[in-house]
Amino acid sequence: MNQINELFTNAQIDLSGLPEAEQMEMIPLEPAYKKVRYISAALVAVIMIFAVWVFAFFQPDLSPYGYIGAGLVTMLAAWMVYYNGLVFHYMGYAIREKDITYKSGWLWKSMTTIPFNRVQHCDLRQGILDRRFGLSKLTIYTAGGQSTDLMIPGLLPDTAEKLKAFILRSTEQSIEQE
Amino acid sequence: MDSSSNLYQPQRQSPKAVILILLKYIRIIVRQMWPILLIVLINPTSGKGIIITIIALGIAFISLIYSLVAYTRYYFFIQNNELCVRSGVFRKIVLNVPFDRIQSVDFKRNLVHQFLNVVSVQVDTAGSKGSELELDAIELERAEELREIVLAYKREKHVSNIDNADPIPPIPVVQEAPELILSLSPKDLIKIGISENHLRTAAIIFAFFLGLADDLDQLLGWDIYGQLENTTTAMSIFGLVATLLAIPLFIGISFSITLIRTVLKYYGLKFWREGKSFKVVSGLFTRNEKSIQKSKIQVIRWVTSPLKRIFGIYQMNIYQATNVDQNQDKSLVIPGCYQQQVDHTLDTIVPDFKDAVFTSHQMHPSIVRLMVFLFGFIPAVLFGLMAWYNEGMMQWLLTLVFPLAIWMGYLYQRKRRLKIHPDFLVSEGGIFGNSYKLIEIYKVQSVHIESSPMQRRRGLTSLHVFTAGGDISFPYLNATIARQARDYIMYRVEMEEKSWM
Repeated sequence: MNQINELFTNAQIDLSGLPEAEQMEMIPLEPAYKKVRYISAALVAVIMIFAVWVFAFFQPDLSPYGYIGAGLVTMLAAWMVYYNGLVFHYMGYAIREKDITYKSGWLWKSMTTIPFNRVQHCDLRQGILDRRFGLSKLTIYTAGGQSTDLMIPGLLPDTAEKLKAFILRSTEQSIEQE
Repeated sequence: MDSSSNLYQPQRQSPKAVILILLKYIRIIVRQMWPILLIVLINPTSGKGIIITIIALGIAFISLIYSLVAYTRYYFFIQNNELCVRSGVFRKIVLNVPFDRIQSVDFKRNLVHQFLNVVSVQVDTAGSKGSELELDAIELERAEELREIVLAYKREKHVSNIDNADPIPPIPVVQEAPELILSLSPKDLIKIGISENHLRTAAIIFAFFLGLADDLDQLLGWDIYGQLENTTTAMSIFGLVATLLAIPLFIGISFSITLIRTVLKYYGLKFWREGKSFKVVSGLFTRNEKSIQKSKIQVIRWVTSPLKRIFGIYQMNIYQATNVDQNQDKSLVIPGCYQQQVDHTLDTIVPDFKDAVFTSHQMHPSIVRLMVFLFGFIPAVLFGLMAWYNEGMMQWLLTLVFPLAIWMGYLYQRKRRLKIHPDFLVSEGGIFGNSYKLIEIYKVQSVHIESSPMQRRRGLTSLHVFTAGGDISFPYLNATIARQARDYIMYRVEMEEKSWM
């Protein structure tokens, strides 16, 4: 098969000279956020395991397959907790002059980039757990719809506030230039 | 003057808002629980009825408390040319909308609003969901004041922009005569109706009857499934004949429904261009008129199916920047037009597209394996197990989904293309038909790249490019190409001086 390995065949600009988002230094999230992830995953896991075993317990003639199923659910829940904590190390964000990038995921990796001149607005949120651990979430909205909104969790409220101010300032500047 | 400075202080909505908030929750609850409420109304004295009534009263009480708390925690104010809202009962939510982003400030009054003499203020930012802001109940004077502040800011901004620009006065706009691009005749409508997707209508009818059967069973205890099962398991000549008759009847019904629906909806459709905007007028009973400003167009899509190809027609959709919720409402749909009209429209919206030379990228063939596994192998195994368990000869036929998936997966991969040009991005595809989706690169809002372990092993990623009116998604793209595309799009958007809408 004829696989083309160039983005353009009629490139008018030097593609290799473009700033590459891949080579950015990612800023990790606050270590306290790992605990938040563990706790919220553990809560879900405990409920799942509890529900499954209560169900198994009240089913007097449950076949061995039922118990195997319940065991599997337990293992799945435990793995979910482990995975939730693990992916913390793969989360991070990077800010360049004109855009912001957020990266996450260990097995399923993802990376979103939003240019500042497309930011609609930002907001800061604190969940109950976040408040307990002194963290904030920053969400950046574009006009691209819900799936493109970028949420950076696990920030110190101070950092989040600064980030938000920086983004809004950059957005305003880029719009004034237009 | 005294009252205008008020808006710069954090303040609550009108106390009347509590009533409106409460009504909102009650509406939501009733919509969610109407079947249960119906049971209570039919038979209020049964044991179940009493319990449900108690629960309902409890929920109503909690919603009342919740609305009160929500009201007291909700503050809005103006600060640094931004409209700010602080809210949240359990979580703290701070929302800032810069005046620059506000597209419109509209007032809405329903009967309750009129009775209470307040308005609901809707601030549209043409942004994503959650960015539009609604103040449930504000006194009219205050709302007008708010709007005036925003508008005054916009006017000022506009004036200063003009001052900075060239001293030459703007060229007076010559009002162009509206140009009729397309007008559908009854003959065209019938062609379109015939070539619509009948399978979809059939599925809707089918789902409707299934849903109806389910509801009747639950509410009145008519076991329609049981009846059906009895008739179908009795493998008599009668049953066979009935089935053979039912299939064409069913197809006929779906066919006529689509045809009638198409004619009613698109009767007398006219597609106009008026200067810098496009307009579609259509409908027999309700005349719908939709128009889109050229600058707001984000995505253009044109599609043909095997049936449509016989008549040589395309369906064309023009999507504009919109809130996600209203995506469907705000797109222009031209259900049928010829190649020449597609070309002409594209030529008016994106003049450079005609001569653009594209570099085309294919999807990696391993996507076929994934699709066959998900949509062929797994269903086939499940159907096989079912057939084996039920000893149903006919059910074995369902396992044919496996070869079907191979065939369709192959067609899909073969036709899927991502075409890139320095200014445009086109996604091509279609299993039996052809579909094309075009976006201008400078209108991109954000780029998302993701990869599964399986994709990474082959050096592949999925690329998603979002605009304010739709996206282009291309899974199983060469990772280097995807990254380069992302870097290029970012460069292009960040350097672009034209506004995206």
